[in-house]
This record gives sequence, C-alpha cells and structure tokens, in this order.
Amino acid sequence: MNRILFFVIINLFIVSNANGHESDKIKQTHMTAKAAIVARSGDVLDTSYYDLPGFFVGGDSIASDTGFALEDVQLLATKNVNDQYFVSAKLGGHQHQDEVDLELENFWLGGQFLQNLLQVEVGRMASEVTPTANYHAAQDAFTEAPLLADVFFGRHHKDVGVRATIRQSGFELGVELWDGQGWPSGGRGSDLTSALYTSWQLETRSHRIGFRAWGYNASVTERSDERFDSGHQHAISDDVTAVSFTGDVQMFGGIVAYSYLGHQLVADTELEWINAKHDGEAFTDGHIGQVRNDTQGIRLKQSFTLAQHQVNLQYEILSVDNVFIDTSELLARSLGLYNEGVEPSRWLINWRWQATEDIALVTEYLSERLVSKDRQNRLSAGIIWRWDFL
Amino acid sequence: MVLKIRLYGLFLAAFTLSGCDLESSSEFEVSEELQDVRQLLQLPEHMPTPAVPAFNPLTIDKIELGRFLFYDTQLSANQTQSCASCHFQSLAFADGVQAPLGSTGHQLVRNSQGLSNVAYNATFTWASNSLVELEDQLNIPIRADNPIELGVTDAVLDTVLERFASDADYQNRFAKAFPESDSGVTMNKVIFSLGSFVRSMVSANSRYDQYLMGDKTALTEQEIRGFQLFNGEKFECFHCHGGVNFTNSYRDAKTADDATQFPFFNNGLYNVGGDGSYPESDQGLFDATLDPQHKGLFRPPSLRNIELTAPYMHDGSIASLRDVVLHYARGGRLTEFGVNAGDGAQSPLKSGLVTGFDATEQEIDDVIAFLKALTDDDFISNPKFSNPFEAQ
Repeated sequence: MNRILFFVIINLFIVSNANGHESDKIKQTHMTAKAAIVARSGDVLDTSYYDLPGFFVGGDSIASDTGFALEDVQLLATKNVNDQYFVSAKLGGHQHQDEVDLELENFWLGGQFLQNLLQVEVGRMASEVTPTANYHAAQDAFTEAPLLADVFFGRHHKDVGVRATIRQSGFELGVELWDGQGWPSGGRGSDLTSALYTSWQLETRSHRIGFRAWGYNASVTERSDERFDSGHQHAISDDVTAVSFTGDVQMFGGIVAYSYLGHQLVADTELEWINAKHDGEAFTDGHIGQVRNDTQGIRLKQSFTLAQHQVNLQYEILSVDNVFIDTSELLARSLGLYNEGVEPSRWLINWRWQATEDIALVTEYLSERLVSKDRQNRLSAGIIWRWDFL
Repeated sequence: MVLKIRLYGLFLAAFTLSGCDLESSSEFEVSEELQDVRQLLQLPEHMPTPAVPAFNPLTIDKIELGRFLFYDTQLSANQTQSCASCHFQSLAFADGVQAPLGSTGHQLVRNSQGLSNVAYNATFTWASNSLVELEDQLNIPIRADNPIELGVTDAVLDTVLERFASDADYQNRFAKAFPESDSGVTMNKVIFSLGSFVRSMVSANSRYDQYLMGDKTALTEQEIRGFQLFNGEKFECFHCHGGVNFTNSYRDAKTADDATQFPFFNNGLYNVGGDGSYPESDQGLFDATLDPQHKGLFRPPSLRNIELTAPYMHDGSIASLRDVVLHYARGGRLTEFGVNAGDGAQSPLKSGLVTGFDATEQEIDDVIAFLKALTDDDFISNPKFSNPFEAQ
C-alpha cells in the first residue's frame, strides 16, 4: 500500500511540471473489425485443466492449445453524439477447443464534461487500471495472453459499472465502481468493487516516460472458477472441481514505461508489477480452507519498431505465498492452492511485419515453466487483421 | 533533463523490483484451538483435523477415562461385556465374527464395525442419517433394550453408575476429566469420555500413509497398480470410498456446515422379491425413514485396516476381501435359495455406481494388495488404545 501511495504522490508532484497536452478528445464514430488467426505447435499444458499451482485462476483464462485457432475476433463500434456523448459496443469471440464463443463483451455509454476535463462512462466495460486487464490477441503485441492477465484479470476483465476519469496535461486520475460480476470479483452477492488509478506521461521530441499506479478492492462471496463449469462457454471437463472463494481481494499495480522516439527506430521499455492479496476462505467439495494469498507478478517488455517491422521481447514471472490456517496439506492440494516453490515464468519473442495497412504477420517463440521446473516451448505464426469500416 | 528522467525510471524500476519477493511458498498455521486437538491426537501432517463437537472438547483426561470405560465390563448391566467385547484392537476394533452376541446373549443382526478413524465419520452406525455425533451413537450399545448389547437400561442405570462412583480410582478419574462438574458419575460423562477415547483412535501410519507422506518405496508396484485401479473408472471404488478416510461419509473440522453429506448406498447385496428389498431383519436406512426407496441403503464404511475387519458388509455375509471384489465385479449378489432369494444385480434400488465389471485375476489381486496396504500395524499395537487393565 505504501508503494501505491508513493507512486500517487510522485505523480501528483510531477504533474505540475509536465508539458502541456490537450485533453483527450471524445470517441469519434467508427466501426472496426479485428481478428487474430494463429497456428501454434510445440508443448502445451493439458488444456482440460489450466491450474497454475497455488494461484487463483478464473474468468476466461485458459491454457494455450496447438493447431490453428481463431484466437480473437472483435467488432467494435462507436457512435458519437454532438461531440459530447458516445455509445460504444464490442462483440468479441475466442476459440476454445474448436468452438468459437461470441459474446457482447462491452456495451457502454460515455460523456465528457467540464470542457472535456472529465469523462464519465457507464455500462459493461473493461477496467482501465492497466492495459493488462484487457488483453486481446488482435490488439496486443503478442498472440499469447500475458500470465499477468490470466492470473489477475481472468485474461480480460469485464464488468458492469461506472467510471469517471479526469485527464489533463498528460495526467490521468480515474475512479471505477463495479457491480462485481467479473474476475477478480464475481460470485454470489459480491459487494461493490472499486478501483482507483492514476498515470502521468511526459513526452519530449525523442523521449517519452510514463508512470501508472492503481488499486482495486473487492469483497466477494462464493467467487467460483467458472472456467470448468459444465455448460459454461468455456466448459472443458466435468471432472475438474472448481474452487470457490469468499473473502477480500485487494490488488495493486504499477507500470513504468520509457520510449526512445528516434527518427526511424522507436524503442519501448515497459515494466509492470501487480500484487493481489486474497484473505478469506477457499472451498471445494464441501471443504473449507482458510487462506491468505499473496500473488505477485512482474512483466518486462521491450519493443523495437523500425518501419513496418517490430520485434517484441517479454519476460513474465509470478510468485505466490499462501498461508493456510487450520487447513491440511491434503485440502490445500485439492484446492489447487498448494505451491512447492514453483514460480511460473515465460519468455516471449516475436517479429511482427505490418505487411499492409490492415494486415500484420507475426512469428512468435515462447518458452515457459508454468507448473513445474519443466520447460515448454512453442512456436506460432499468425495473421493480425484490422479493418476500419467507418 | 533526459538523463534525469532515465535515471528516475531506472530508480522506480529498481524500487519496484526490490520490493518484490518472488519466491513461492505454502505455509500452514494452526489456530490454538485446532493445535490442541492435533497435538492430543498426535496427527501427522497429512491428516485433517477431525470435527470435535463444542459440547465435548477433547482433553487428555477424558480420553484416558474413556479408555478405562471402554475396556471395563462393569459398563454392562450383568458385568459380562464391555465395548471391547465386540471391538478388538488386534482387529482394528472389529470382532471377526459375522454378527456378535449382546451381553445377555441376544444375537445382533449387524456386523461390528472397525473403529479406525471414526472421528471423521459424517454419520454413525451402518444406516442412520440422524446419528451425526459419536455421543449420540454411544447411547445405543450402552442403553438400548432391543437388542440388548450392554443392557444399561433405565432400571439398572443407577446400579451401573454406582459401580464407578464407589470406586476411588474412577472417582479421581471422573473428577480430573470433568473438573468443573460436581455431579459425580453420570451417563453423560461416561458417554463423553468414551466419545473422546474413540475419537482419539486415529489410524494414519499404514504403508499407504507413508507413501502419501513422501516415501515412494512404501508401496510395491502391485499395490500402486491396485491403487490406480481403485481410483479408476473400471472398479469405481473411489466413488463411495474416496478421500483420506476411504469413505465419502466424511467430515472434518473444515467441512462446511451446509456441505456435510450423508451418503448411503444399496450395493445389490439382496433383492428379495425382486423389488430391491433386503431381509426383513435389517432393511438399512429404510428402517429409520420408512421410505421404500431407502431399502438396502447403508453407509460406506472406511476401508482403513479393512484387511483386519472381516467378515464384510453390514451383515458380515461376505467372508473375504476377494469375495467382496467379486461381488462388485458381478454388480450384485445372487441368492439362489431361501427366504432371501433374489439377484441383487437386478435390484431396482441398487446404486448406479454398482454396475459390474470384467476384471482379470491379476487386477483383483492388485486391488486386494492395495487394500491390505491400508493396514496400520501401529494402530493395532498402540498402547494408547490398549486394555489398561491388562497393562496394569
């Protein structure tokens, strides 16, 4: 918590010295389609049971699979009204085990006030505490979801709520209130979920530096890992027992980013840290384990862009400290929350070639250790397609 | 300026990283209340803490008093039997006979169950969904008059209690076990002490337990094959005999109050008259609920020390482990002649989990080998559970 306060204070201090920026313009009318089609080969986990040892995992997180897959497809549309209001919607789809599930992921209304200083949005949206909360293969650097997205946000956060954001001179301060339906909230009778974030960005002709800090707080009741529930769109196995959690969830995170903006070469460095704390009861098969969970994740990404070519390199590592109270090791294991010193980690490197204005080709290599010290390696190739209808 | 910014970024990155402890771990803490229970029972790490009712907390003095009472024939009206008369330590507290005789010679209809790990039972006796505490169950063998076991009926209750009240050693033991009570010897105190002693009978040092605790040489290859068959979809044993106590009639201190299950199964042992009935002398849960669908429903017992608790089933009608496996392989028992004739495999009330299977002799041997690996030699020789009168 002290670390978050530190970030916020630093940001507030620096904002007064920041170079001036125009306030963000309101969303304009547009309609865009995006898709990512990926072919993957190599080592994968058993896709019927994506269980990182010791970690709570839920939402849409799922193990990678080999073969061809429509990794992501999106149809996004926004209607601008009088340059003051907008309505946006996103239809999204992901392929899981030969099935493509389409859903209306987001639908929200927004408006800008106080000479565009304040933006208020309401509806079904993704949190903006960090871009990691809203991973999609068709819009992000890599075709594999970050481990941080999987563990902390169920791959892509979505919930019903309201957000107010103030943006001025590269400074941003946002408050979100959520209904508590989406991971890491969810479950039955979740209390109101809240989030706070702030960021600051300074840009000179050849340098850009940015900081972001955020916090997220939820109190959940019987939040279940619905990935494996029978009948759910991500249903995979009836044999896998879902773990439910009742208690408090607190998350904090920060991003430090630096970009070198050369005449031809652009180099981006980004370091992200997320910490989640669970304090409550985890239960499965009618057994309850009292657990204090402290999960940390670090993501370090380096990108180089030269003309139509981009090379991205990313390293992620997760750790978890679980303290069980009055809970046997056997129960901890059956809850999937026992970790014997495994820190899941992953290296990713890819080369993206923006072949045309609408199409990018990606070649990607991944090396990871997720559930044990055994390393898994995968190679993938994909097409990222984007088309602006309006 | 640029240099300053980059240094600042590096500083923040270093700051962020320096605060992160990126080593995973799992730690276990035990609250004082449960720690006391675990220490009293000397539970190994892999065993959950059993549920102990708040009205009868475990103490060493109650356990010790219960041990004396368990082996004392003064607890039967005619002073011929004690609990130990039907529960022999050498047989994991079963008695090796099909069905025992009560203290007055009444023939009981049910087989004496072993007492290994009964502290983890969700319910007690072979077929009752209302006996959820040991203290409730203990009333039956002590106080019931049909059939008579120990025969401490109302008519002789005071006489029996006086035996203990007039004994100086027992006076001292009752006073230590119930230090805040001045009511002398009561049947409640007898039952609470017996409950505490029986609750302390934890069996957790079989070769299977040693295997669980990390000694991968503790089980032979054949036993591991049997373990896999036991947990496989062919034999289906684990559906009713799963978990650390090998029964899904299970509860421990961390079982959610609203999640305790009271499982009972009809395993096709009988099909009298073709309607799924069992012999009239014992129809299982039906005798308590009178629901016809409950005919033949019995609680799956724990399989710990199962090698020692023959004969098997609620009526002790199957002599050996091999015959038990063959019974399930057939999907029910055929009784060709007599008043109980009928094919259990065709019972309309039989559990859907008892469907029968084709097993090779090798597979049956493997499963039996695994079941024998559940025998806990420490349990059957542990002085804590032995007859204190013999020890003296």
